[in-house]
Amino acid sequence: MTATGWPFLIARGRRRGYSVLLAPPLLRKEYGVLEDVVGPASGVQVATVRGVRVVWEEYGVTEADIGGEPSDEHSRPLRLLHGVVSRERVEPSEVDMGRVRAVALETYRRFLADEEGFAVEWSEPVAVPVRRRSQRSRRWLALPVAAAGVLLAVVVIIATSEPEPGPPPPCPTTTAPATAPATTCP
Amino acid sequence: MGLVVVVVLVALGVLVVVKGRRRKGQGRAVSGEVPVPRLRVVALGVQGSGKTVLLTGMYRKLQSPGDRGFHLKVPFDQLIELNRWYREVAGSDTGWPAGTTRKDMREFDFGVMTTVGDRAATVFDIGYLEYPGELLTDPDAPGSTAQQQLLAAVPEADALIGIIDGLRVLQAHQGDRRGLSVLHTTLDAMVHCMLTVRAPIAFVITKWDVLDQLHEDENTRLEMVRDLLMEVDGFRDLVTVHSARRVVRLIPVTAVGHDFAVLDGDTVRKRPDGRFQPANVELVLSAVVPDVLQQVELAVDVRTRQAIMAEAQRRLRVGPAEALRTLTAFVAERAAKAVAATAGGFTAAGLALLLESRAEPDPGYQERLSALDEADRWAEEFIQARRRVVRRLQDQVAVFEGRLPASRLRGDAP
Repeated sequence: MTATGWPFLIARGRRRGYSVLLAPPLLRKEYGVLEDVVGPASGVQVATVRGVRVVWEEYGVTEADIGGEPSDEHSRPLRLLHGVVSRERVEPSEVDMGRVRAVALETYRRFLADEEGFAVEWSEPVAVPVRRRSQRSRRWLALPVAAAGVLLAVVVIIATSEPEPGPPPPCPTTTAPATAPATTCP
Repeated sequence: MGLVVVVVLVALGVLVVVKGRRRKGQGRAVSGEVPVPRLRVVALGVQGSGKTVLLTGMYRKLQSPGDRGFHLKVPFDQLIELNRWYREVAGSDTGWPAGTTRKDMREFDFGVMTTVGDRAATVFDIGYLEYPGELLTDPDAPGSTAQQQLLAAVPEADALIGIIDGLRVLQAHQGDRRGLSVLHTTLDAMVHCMLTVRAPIAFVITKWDVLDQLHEDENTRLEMVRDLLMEVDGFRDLVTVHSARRVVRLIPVTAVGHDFAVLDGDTVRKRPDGRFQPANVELVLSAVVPDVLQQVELAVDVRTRQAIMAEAQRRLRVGPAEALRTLTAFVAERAAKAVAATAGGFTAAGLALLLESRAEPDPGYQERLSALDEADRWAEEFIQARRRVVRRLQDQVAVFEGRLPASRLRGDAP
């Protein structure tokens, strides 16, 4: 089973700093949120932002990728933060991420050719595998988990509650006529 | 069913731990937790100016006491990150760190530690904001909040550090048009942020090693750089306006040393046999505390200062432990408000440090100390230890100023 995903790319140029270069139309009015959640990664990372699933990885640009030295004007290595966004729980495979990287690299080469004049590009949709959940395997867990959750909540409430103050000291007992009105302690 | 049993056991464990901690907390000695002032530092610098490398170098230099009598400590996750950067910077077979993304933006927590009694304690905190330099020069993409966060942090800062790329200074000096243009852009962005704030400012010239070629004498070299910067209208105006009522410094630093890298055309490359020997990096943080104190002194009129000092002294006489507990709240709630209404330009953290560091010498100190109970004695030692750290920082900055008089920027400088 697959769902629609949109590739994205965040990268730095030789002169310009990190920015979104390839954006998903899904986030047309707020693609900058990707810059706030996507950062350096070892391996594939996943985050959810504005109800959208973001899957990304980091890639070190090579000389073969861009036909030149893969570093910026400050001698820092050039890196891509690329991936897909989707409304579904997509789980791209290595092959899928490789396809997305190829798309991202095309954008990146255009960016390097004209960093100052480059405008954000909008990605085309791609099909990405979706994680299938086994309804049967989860159903038997529902009742015990719910019961355990309620119990845990009760325990936490008890643990965090302040001890109740004890009852107020009784009024001093005095001998009074049976007709005397009830009074409060002085 | 087994799952339920496990959760019940975990829940009971949580209950026992929480209740146990509560009981333990009730009997805790005063010496355990002391509120310490937190000074927030924002370093403004464009991308590639060397902010991350400087941060790494500062921590490396100050992570052990040496002969300073104090050192820095960071949370473990931040230590891992700083060590990773250090390996990238110091390794001759690796490149420079890849640069900071917006996601990486965070405040590093430097605890300034010193020995109090027989153990190390944090005497104040320094928060240091690390962020990507393009936030100063590039527009934020729609939906991103990083730039807003940075701009909001600037007026809240106790001290500002302006990072100037030494390579751009060299290029400007050599008449390189792009280098000059980038330098102007950098200074314009800083001036825009700094002109309206009241915090002390230190400008840091990074990559000082690439400027070695300007002149063999370091102070003459610094004068040359100062003169070049003062030719830029916005920078000169900023120095003129600020130096009248607060400290403005120019600190040259090399986070790698004078023999570690070489300039190859416009590119700074590591030497295979280079020696990693950072210089002056510690002064960037060391100058923060003395400058904040001086800023408060300059901003507060004598009568107000004396009134606040008297109140602080009175609290200290009641008991050092009590003073430590209540001084921060006192400063935040009453003194800072009162002073801000008249002069402003500093935060409660700066004022709290000033109250202690400017307290009158106590001739009966030893006698008074022996009469204190254990908690008060520890608190008194804590206060004295913090004063020693502040004095040490002031000495360090004074020595630096003596060595490089051109480091103090004034509007009337040539």
